[in-house]
Amino acid sequence: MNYFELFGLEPNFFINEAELSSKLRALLNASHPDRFASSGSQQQMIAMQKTTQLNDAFAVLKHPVRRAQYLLELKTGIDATKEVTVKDPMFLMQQLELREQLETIIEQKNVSDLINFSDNIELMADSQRDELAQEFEQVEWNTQSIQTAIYKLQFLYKTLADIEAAEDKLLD
Amino acid sequence: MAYSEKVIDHYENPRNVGAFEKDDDSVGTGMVGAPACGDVMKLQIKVSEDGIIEDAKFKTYGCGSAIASSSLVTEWVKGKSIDEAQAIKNTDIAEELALPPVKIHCSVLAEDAIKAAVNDYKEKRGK
Repeated sequence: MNYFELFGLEPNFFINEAELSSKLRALLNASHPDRFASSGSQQQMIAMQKTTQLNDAFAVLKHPVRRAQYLLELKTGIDATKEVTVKDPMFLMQQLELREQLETIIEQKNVSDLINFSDNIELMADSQRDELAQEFEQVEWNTQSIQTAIYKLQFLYKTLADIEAAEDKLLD
Repeated sequence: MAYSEKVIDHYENPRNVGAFEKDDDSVGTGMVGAPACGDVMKLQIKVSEDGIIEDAKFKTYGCGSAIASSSLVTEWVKGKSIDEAQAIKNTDIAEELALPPVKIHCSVLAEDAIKAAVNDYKEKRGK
């Protein structure tokens, strides 16, 4: 059973996160090892394995990049998690400039700039995620375009992670 | 994970951080990135009329190994011809910095960056 099937879902990039979370709760509840306390150790073992599997699947399906990578591999066999070098000067220059802006904001300890910057990058990441979703909506998948859309999202998420780390530092 | 002393040295005292004017005819710019870790690396070379790299600069956003790899490469390429620079292998970088297996891709990134910089220079010059 693949991760989508585990949650009773069609293999799609689009996912209703609230629905995914409530399904996780219901499934975890149904397979909780405590329910099998009187059923012997083998039943409990199976319940524990199921719990682990559900949590792993949830972690993948919840995260847009991991979900996209999983779906791509499931349908095409292409492994988009491998270490590759991206050579897209325009895009990378833009990413470098964003990191430089963040560096300056951190140096100046400017909290309001950091919040504005964070909002801005979140918008960029949302629109990049929508672009990725559109790629998956195509009847014939262009696997190259899908992989490009995935890596662009990865760079934006990295900047968001850096922002979060900076917020923790500046705001505490 | 423990970094080697050489990595720490380059990380704490990175050589040749900075930038050249990208549109300068004698400058080649290599931009590369690694999506899995989100590293972004810019490596630039300034080349003399006879094809010798006079100076090199870099700017890297990434882990210590990525910064050390690009810093080391800017040191290595100075005084080399562009063809010699293009022949630098990631394995030499990894060996010099004693990179652990999980960080080998950082040296690959630095090799790809110098190659991209030389290619950019050659394209500009129409060679």
